[in-house]
Amino acid sequence: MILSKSEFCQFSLKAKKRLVMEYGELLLDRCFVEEKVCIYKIYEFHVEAIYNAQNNELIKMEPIYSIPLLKYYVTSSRRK
Amino acid sequence: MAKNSSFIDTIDQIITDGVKKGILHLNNEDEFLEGNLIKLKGKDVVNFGSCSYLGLEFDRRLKDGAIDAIEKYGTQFSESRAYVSIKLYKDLEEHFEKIFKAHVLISPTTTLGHIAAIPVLVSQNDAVIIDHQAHNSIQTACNLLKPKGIHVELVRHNRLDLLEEKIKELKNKHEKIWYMADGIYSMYGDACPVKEIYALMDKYKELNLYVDDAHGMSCFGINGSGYVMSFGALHPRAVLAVSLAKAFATGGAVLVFPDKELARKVRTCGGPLITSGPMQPSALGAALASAKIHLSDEIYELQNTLQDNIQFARLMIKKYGLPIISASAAPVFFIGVSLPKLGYNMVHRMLNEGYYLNLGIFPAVPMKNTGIRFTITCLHTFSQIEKMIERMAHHLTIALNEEEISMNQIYSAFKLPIPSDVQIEEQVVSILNAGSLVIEKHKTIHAIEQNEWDNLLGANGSFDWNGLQFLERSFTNNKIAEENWEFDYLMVRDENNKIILATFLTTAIWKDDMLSHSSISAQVEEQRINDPYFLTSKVVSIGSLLTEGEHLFLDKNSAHWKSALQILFKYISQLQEKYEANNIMIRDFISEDPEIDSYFIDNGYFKINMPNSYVVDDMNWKSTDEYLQRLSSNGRYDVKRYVLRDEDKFEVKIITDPSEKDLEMYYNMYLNVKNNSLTLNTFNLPFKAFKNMISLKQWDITTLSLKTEFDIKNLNKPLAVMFCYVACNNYVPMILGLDYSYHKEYRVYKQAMYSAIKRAKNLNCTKMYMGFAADSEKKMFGAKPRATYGYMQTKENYNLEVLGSYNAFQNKQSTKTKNDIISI
Repeated sequence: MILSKSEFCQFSLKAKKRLVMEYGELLLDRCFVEEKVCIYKIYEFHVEAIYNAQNNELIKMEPIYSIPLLKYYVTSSRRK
Repeated sequence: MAKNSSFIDTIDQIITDGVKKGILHLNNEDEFLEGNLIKLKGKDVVNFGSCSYLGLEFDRRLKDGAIDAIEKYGTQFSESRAYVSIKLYKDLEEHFEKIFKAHVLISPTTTLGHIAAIPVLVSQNDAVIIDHQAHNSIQTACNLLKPKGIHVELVRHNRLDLLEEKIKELKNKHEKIWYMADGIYSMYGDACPVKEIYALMDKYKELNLYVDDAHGMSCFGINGSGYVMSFGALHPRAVLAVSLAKAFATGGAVLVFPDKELARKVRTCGGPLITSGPMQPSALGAALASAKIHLSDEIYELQNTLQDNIQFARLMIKKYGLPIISASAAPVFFIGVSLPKLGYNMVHRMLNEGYYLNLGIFPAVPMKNTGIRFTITCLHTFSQIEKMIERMAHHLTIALNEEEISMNQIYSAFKLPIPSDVQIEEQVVSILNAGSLVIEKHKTIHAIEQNEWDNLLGANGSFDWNGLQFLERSFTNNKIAEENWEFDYLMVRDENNKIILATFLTTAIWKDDMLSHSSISAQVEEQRINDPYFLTSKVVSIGSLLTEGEHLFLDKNSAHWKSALQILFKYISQLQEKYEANNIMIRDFISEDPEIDSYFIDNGYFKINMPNSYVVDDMNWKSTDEYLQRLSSNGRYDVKRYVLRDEDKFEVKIITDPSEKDLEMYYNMYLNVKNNSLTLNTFNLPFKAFKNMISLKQWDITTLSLKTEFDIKNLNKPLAVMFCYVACNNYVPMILGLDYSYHKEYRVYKQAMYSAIKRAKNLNCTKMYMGFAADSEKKMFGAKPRATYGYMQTKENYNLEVLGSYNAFQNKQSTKTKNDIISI
């Protein structure tokens, strides 16, 4: 059974991480100076996960609402 | 109905049925356990029945704690704590004092904790009110108070309005009032309204709280101190008991007290704390390790993980449309399935799918409120939870179809609002599934052809067509509620118009203690002086309160008999809703039939033993001597000694047209007998019924008077009157009235019975139905006992529980009466 974006958002950060690990698929990851960004596909939407690049601690995990931001991540990778 | 030895038999029957079906009393087959898989019947299944909510049972630190304690102190320290306690006890109690920030006592189990604490806490002048869904262990401990004469009663679950009413009623008569409750209720997983109870405690200084938070411990609160303590410090008049055998993962229990003196007193005087064995070193060592986790921030990590899983499970249940019964943050879930047969089916199916779940069944819940109970722990993954719920939803659709139950029935059984899509689906299915059986429903016997009815049921007792006409006239349009019965008739025919099932039903107010021991009824009647409808219930019953015999015609040779019974069950449920009745009774089965037993249990009924009914079926004698030869030697002796010796002193009259005054006298004689016996405790019959008997030729009225020369008290009136129903060669003495003026000199009841037998013979009757009770007298006259039983279903068990709470008083006041004679 799929979860909607709003249902996903009701969960704690730790639970979101578990949901993504159990149900999601990693599409891309990019490293910046202080952060690592991963894009996952879960259910019928995509989420952006931001990790502390130093200790790999998950800081934030939210569905992607901003297309320009997604494009930025993709182009960042191209630059690399 | 009494919660007596047959209640134990009922539990035995239901649990044994579950054992036979392979879902209860299971044993796991693992040589080694780790995680949430267990091996049952050769198969690894995900365990959704564990109460180890935080999954700490496999934590290395707890295992090491247990091993270390064994290494240091051995496998046991076998000494009562009254003498010496192992050092680990002191260490552990210090840790718990930090967790609860209060005074504590450790007990080997929660049950022993209750048994130690409650009799010490509750004094002679106190009163106890138990939430009727409070755990059985609390109720067991409270039963110890009853022989001391301490006032103990039940209150409906979480009904603080009713609790307040009881407080007002009791507070001037008792020093303290103890309310006994659970923090999280073990079956439905709903919670105790702690804030509201504390507010009541602030309002009424007499109110004290004793709460068992077994399922809340560790899962909630600062340092895992439990659900109750998640609302702040323990109320100064509250005592808490928590289990260490659930989320805490070590076994044992803790009692938490608001003051040191109370803790000391229970430690000193609490029975099991003096005489029972202590917790053993391994459990104490593991508990110490678990307590250390509880005192660290790690407990909040675990609590959060559990809450994530609970939240996910709730969301999945909602998405898959399962009928969940309560909504709280607890890790206990209850999916309603209504009838036991669906519960068995579902647990079986889920076991085959690789998921072990509990069956929530009577007596933990009412029969019609059977459900699938499951628990969530930190060890479950989201995908395990989702797959289990997805499979449950998948199988529920199939099982509903197999068991011919609708979702609508489930929602109705639990009084839940029925979703609109479920309602529509129900209608579609009922249209598509309309079978070949023809169902006739009637509100009066006049709508049924007399010969057809009498051929089916007329010879079974006093409910032939005319008898029912009499009942309808007598028990409708009366002023008093209990004298008004609803009448309903059901006939089911096959495609060839052949009757498969026929019966009549009455809906009336019954006394719940009708079949209880008379000493219990005596106590209940005392309460009814101020509250006439105390412990009474509206009952939809096959037959009526005034008839006996096999009221159900069922052609078991028909291939459709089960379908016909299903129609009956559905019809009764509809009547139960329509008349807002609590209980259903399908009664007066004579011969044992295991197939019927099993079918009724699967459909949510439990079997109850009714009193023996007595029948004289050998009327083939021509003289008194011949009759006497048919009796046992004791019977023959008694009849000669108590009846024949005085027979000539009595005059028997057949009454055809009594005056109003005579009828009133007969009615008062009936009341004499009725008020003298509580063996079958019913409401009084209305006078109108007696008036109606006169106008129906089937009623044979006889009186028994002393001849003038022997009536030395110059009473000049009958000593006995009998109203007997004559139909289809049956003679049924139904109502007896007595005047006890000559009770010491003559055995008037025996004379009356004997004259009834002679009268039946004169009328060429071949069978005499002598009713229930007065066993020895009836046997004396050659009546044979017939074991009679019925099947019962209750919407809720509350009244049964309240009645059950009277049992301990059974021998307190014996109220055995002069005669155990009753007019039923």
